[in-house]
Amino acid sequence: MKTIEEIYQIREKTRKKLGVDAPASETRIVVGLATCGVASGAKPVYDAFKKAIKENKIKKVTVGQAGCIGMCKFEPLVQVFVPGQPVVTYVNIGADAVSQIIEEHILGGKPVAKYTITQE
Amino acid sequence: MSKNVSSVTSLNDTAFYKNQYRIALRNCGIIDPENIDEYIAYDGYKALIKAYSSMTPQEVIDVIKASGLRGRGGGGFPTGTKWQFTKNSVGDKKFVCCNADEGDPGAFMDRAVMEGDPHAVIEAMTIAGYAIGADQGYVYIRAEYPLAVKRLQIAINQAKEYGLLGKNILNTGYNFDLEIRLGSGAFVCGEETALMNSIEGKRGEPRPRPPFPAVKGLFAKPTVLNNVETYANIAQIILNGAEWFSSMGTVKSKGTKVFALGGKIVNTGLVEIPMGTTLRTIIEEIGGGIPGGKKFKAAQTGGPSGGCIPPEHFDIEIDYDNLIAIGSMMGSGGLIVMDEDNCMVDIAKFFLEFTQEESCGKCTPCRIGTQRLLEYLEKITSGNADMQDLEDMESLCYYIKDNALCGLGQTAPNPVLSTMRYFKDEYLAHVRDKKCPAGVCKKLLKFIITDACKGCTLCAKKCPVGAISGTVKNVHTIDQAKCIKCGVCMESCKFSAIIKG
Amino acid sequence: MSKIKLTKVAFKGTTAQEKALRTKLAELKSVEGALMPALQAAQNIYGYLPIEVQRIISETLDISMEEIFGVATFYSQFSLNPQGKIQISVCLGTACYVKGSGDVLDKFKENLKIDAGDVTGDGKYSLVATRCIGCCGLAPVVTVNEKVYGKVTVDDVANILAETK
Repeated sequence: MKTIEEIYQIREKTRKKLGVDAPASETRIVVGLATCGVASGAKPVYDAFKKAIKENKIKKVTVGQAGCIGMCKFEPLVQVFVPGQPVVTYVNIGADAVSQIIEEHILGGKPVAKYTITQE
Repeated sequence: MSKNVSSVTSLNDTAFYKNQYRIALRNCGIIDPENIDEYIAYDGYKALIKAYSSMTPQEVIDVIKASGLRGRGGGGFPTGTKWQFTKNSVGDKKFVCCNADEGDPGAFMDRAVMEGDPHAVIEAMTIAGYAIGADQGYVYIRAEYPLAVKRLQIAINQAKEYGLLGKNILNTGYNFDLEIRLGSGAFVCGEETALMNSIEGKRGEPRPRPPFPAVKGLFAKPTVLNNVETYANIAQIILNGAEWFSSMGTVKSKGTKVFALGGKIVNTGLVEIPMGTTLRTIIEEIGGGIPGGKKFKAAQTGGPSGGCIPPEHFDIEIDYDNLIAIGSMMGSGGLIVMDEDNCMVDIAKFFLEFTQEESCGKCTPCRIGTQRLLEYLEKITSGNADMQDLEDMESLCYYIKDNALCGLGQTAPNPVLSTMRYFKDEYLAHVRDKKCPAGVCKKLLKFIITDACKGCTLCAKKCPVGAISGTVKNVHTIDQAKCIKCGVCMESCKFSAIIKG
Repeated sequence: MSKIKLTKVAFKGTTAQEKALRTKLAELKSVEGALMPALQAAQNIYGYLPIEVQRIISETLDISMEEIFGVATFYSQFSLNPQGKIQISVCLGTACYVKGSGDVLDKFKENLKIDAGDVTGDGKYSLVATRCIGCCGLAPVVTVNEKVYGKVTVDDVANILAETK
C-alpha cells in the first residue's frame, strides 16, 4: 500500500519518463489498441514494432499501447513521440509498414510522409 | 493537385481535433490504460487525494452541483443533486453504481473510456463513495465488451495494490471497494432500476419509481448511479473547480459531450465538444461533411429513445434542452447522419424493431404497444396503410409515452413522433401515393428498364427469380409480379438502363 | 418474445466441468446477487445452461429452480440449448427459396438427422434457417460459421459438410 507522498513520487517519476513537462529520455511508439483498433488489425502492428525493436537491439525506444484516439477511419493508428520533436501520427498502417518506419524515422530521424495524414 | 494541400504529421492538427475539447476523453489514446503509473502521471488520483485531505463530503457535492454537470447517460439529471439526495437518505449501507451497459446502437463512448482510461471511472466512483458515505461500488458492464471488462479489472487490481481501493485508502481511514458485474444481453438493463435488479441476480425488469434509487436502490439501500461518461468528468471538476467546468457550454448544459459520429459522414469517430456547439460545426467541420456530395437530410440523436434533427435546425446549438425542444434528446451520444438516400419511415421502423425486441414485457403499454406500433410501420412501408392508420398510430404513440413503466417504453415512440413531425411528407408518400421517395422500402419499390437497354440479356441471366424477359438487342421488361426487388439487375446492368421508380 | 424451446440433446457434463462449476459456486456463496455471475460461469464451462446444471446452482446457492429459469430465459446471452461448433445457416429469403434453398435445407436435415433450430447429438453441428442475408445474386446461399457458399445445389451439401470435417 502506498502513501499519498509515494503517489506523488510516482507521478513525478512517470511524468519524466513520458516527457510530459520536459523532453523524455526515450522515444515512445504508442499503438492504439482499443477494440476498434484491434479489430482493424493493430495487434500485428504492435507485435511487429516490439519484435523489430528487440531484433535490431534498438536502445532507448519503448513500444506501448493506448486506448481509442477517436478517429475510426484511420485505424490502425500509431503515434511516435521522439524527445524534443512534435508527435507524428501514422495512420492506416499494417505490419508491413513497420520496418520502414523503424529504419527511416526511429533510426534515421525522418518521419515517413506516406503513412501520415494529408489534408487540404 | 491543389497547392493548398499540406501534409499533417499529427492528428492534433486536423480539423477533426481542432474543434474538440477533451475532458472525459482526455487520457484516451494518450496513456497506457493497463499502467496505473501513467494515469497518475496525468494527475490521476490527485482529485481523490484533494477530496480526502481538504474537502468535506458536502463540499465535494457542492462543487459538483455548482459545476452544473448533468447525467451523460441520456436523462440529463443534475449529478450533484442526485448525490445530495443519496447523501441525505438514511441507511446503514449505501452503494455507488456505474452504468456501463452501453446499449444504444451506434454509441461507444463508454467503451472508449473504459478501454482507454479505466482509472478515471474508479477514481470518480471512490470520490462519489466519499461524498455520499458509501464503501461499496459496482460497475455494471455489458458482456459484449470483453476488452473493457479486462482493462477495468486490471485497473481495479492495480488500484487495490496501491491502496487506492479497499480498506484504509492511502492511510486516510476511508474504505471503498469496487466489483464488476456483467450484463448478459438485455438492453433494458441500461434503465437504472432494471440494472439494479440485474446486479441483485434477478430478471432485469424495471421497478416503479418512487421509491427512487437515492432512497431505495440496490439491495434496497440508498444508491447513486451514474454512467461512465459522467464519472469521467468528476476528477477534472474537483481538480479545476466548478467555475472552470461551468464556463463551458450553454446556460443550462455545462461542460462537454462526447458524440459517436456515424452514418453518412466522412469522419466517423468519437468527438468531444463543448455543449452548445452547432450541428453544422459537428457535421461540416469536425465530421468533414457528407460523402459523395449528397444532401443532408437529418441527424439522429438519442438512439432508439431519440429523434431526428431536420435541415431547418442545422444551426441548433446542441444541448439537453434545445434537443428536447425540437423533439429529440441527447441520449447517450450516438449521432447518426442521414442523407437523401435514407427513408425516414424506414429509420423509425428500424428503431421500433429494436425496442420491440428489447421490451422486457413487464408492463403492457410497452410490451403490446411497441408491437402494435411496429405493425403500423410495417403496414405503411408495405403500402397497405390509410390515413386513419397514421392518425391512430400517432395517438398510440402518446398513449405509450404516458403509460409505460420505464424510460425504455416512455421514449420508444420518439423516433416515430419525431420523423412524423419533420418528415410528414414521406409518411404521406408511403400512405397516399404508395411510394418510398428514397427508394428504400422494398415493397414499394419498382425496378424499371428504360430505353437505354441494349438488349444484352445480362440482367435476365442474373435475375434470381427469372422475372426479366426479352430477346437479344431488344429492350427487356421486368415482370413486377415476379420481381422480389433484390436489385441484382440494377447492379449488373452495364448501361445504367435500370432505374428505381 | 419467442417460445422457449428446450433441448432434446442428452446432458453430457464431465466431472472436470462439474468440479469447475462447484469451485466457482463455492466462491460465489458469500456474494450478494450471485445468480448472474453463477449462470455466466456455468455457461462458460458448459457452453449452455442445461437443466442439470441449473439444478446444481439451485441446490448450492439455495435459489429456487423457478427463479433460476426466470433469469436464464430473460437474458439473451443465456442459452438453454447447446450450440453446435459449426453453425450452418440456410437462407430462406425469397430469392434463395425460389432457387431451391428449401430443398437444400431438407438435404442438410437429412444428412445431419436434425431439424432446423437443432443441434446434432455430438454437439458438432447446428442448423438454422435464416431470413434474407442480402446476397440474392448468389442465391441459394448457405453460410457455415463465417464462410459464405453461393449457388448451392442439393448435390453440394455433402461436399460442404465434408469440408467441415
